[in-house]
Amino acid sequence: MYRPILPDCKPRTIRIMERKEDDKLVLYRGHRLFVMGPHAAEIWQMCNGEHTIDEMIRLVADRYDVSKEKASDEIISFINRLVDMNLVVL
Amino acid sequence: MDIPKIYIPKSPLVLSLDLTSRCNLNCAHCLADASPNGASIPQDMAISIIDEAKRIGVKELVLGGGEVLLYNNFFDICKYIVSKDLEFAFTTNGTLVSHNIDRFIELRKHTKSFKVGISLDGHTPELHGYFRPKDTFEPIINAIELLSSININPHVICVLNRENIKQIPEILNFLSDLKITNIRLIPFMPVGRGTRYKCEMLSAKEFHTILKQKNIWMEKSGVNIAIHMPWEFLFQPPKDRCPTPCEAGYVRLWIDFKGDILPCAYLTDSIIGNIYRDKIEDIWINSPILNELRDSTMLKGACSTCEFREGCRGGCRGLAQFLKGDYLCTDPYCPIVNQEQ
Repeated sequence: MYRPILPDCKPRTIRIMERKEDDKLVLYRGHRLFVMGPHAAEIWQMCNGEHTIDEMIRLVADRYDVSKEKASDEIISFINRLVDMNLVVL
Repeated sequence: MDIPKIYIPKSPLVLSLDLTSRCNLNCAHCLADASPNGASIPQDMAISIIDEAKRIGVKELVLGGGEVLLYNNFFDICKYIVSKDLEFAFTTNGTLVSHNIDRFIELRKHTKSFKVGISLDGHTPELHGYFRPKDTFEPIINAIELLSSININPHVICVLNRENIKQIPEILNFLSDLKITNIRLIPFMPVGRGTRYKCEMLSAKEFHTILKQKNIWMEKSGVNIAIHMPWEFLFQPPKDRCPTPCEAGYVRLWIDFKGDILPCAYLTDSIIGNIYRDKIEDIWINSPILNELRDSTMLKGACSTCEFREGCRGGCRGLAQFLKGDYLCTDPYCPIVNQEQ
C-alpha cells in the first residue's frame, strides 16, 4: 500500500546523471543504474517541481486514452517507488 | 512503468582516467606505483579521450594519478572537460593544493559542480603516516582549510589499515571539526606497491565490524560515510536490501597513464585494450573480459548458486583476482562466502 499524494503536490527529481538510450532513460546514482521505459521517462521528466500530480494524471489519461483512475493508480504508485528510492522528493 | 534492475548501458557512464603516474610522494601502498619519475598521458591524447568520451555519451570523468596536480596543464584539461559539458572529479594527495590555489579559484569560476577528493588516513600525523609520509599531514589539513575557504568542500578518501580502523570515530570527529561532510573508506588493496603488504589486508571480520558500525558513526559525527561493497546490502534489514553491483563493465571503465584500458583499477592484469589503437565504445561492447564480468552465470564458488548474484554480481572482482587468481571467483570479504568457510 502506497502513501497518498495530494493532487496539487509538485514532485521534483533529485540531481542525477541521466542518459537517453534508444527509447530508454538511464539514470545513474551511487553505483546504481535505474532504467526507465518511455512512459516512465515521461513522468520522470515532468517531476521538475512545476507539474502537479493532477496535471500528470490528466496528461496521461488524455494522451493514452486511459481512465483517470487507472492513470492515477499508475502514476502515484510509480512516484511512490521513486520516493522510496530517494530519486524524487515530494 | 517497470524499473528493471539489470541493464548494461551502451557505453560507460563514468570514465576514470589516470593522467599520470608522477607523484611527489612515495607512499608504501600506492596502487599506481607512482613516483617522481612517472610517465603521463600526452595532453593531446587526454583531449582526444575527452572528445571520445563526450561522443559516446560518458557523463562523468574521474581524473586520477599519480598526483594530478603534477600533470602539465591539469587545470586546462579540467576547463576543457567543462567546455564539453561533462561532469568531473579528481583526487589529490593534497600537498600541492596551496601552490595551486589560484588555479582552483579560477576553475571554480568556470564550474561549481566538480568534486575533489583528498587522501587522508588519520587524524594525527602518526596515524595518517601508516602508509604515507607523516610530514604530509599538516599540508593536507592546510589544503582542506584552503579549499573550504574558497567554497570547495573536498571529500576525504581514507584507506583503511590495521591502525586507523581502531580510531574511526576519532577520525570522523576530527573531520567534522574541519567541516568535512563526506568520507570514503576504502579497505587496503594489495595492488601496485601494495602487493608487498598483502598481510596488511583487513580480515573479513574487521571489515564487517566497520560496516555494522557505519550508521551509528555517521549519526554521531554528522559525516557521511561511503564504503562501496556490492554485498554491503546484507547488513541492512531484509526490506531495505538493495544490491549495488561492482561497476566494472557495468557503469565504468578505466584508462591508465599508459593508455591501457582496464575494467577496474584493481584488475591491473586484465588489460582489455589500449587507447592508442582501440575505440572505447568497441572495447565496451566487445571485450570478452567485460562480457564475462557482466554474465553472473559465469561466477564460481558460492556465487554460482547465490540468490543475490544477479544484483551483486559477485562483489569486488579485484579482490577475487588478488586472492584467488580468478576474477570470476568469490569476493573473500562477502559475508555469505565467509559463512561457508
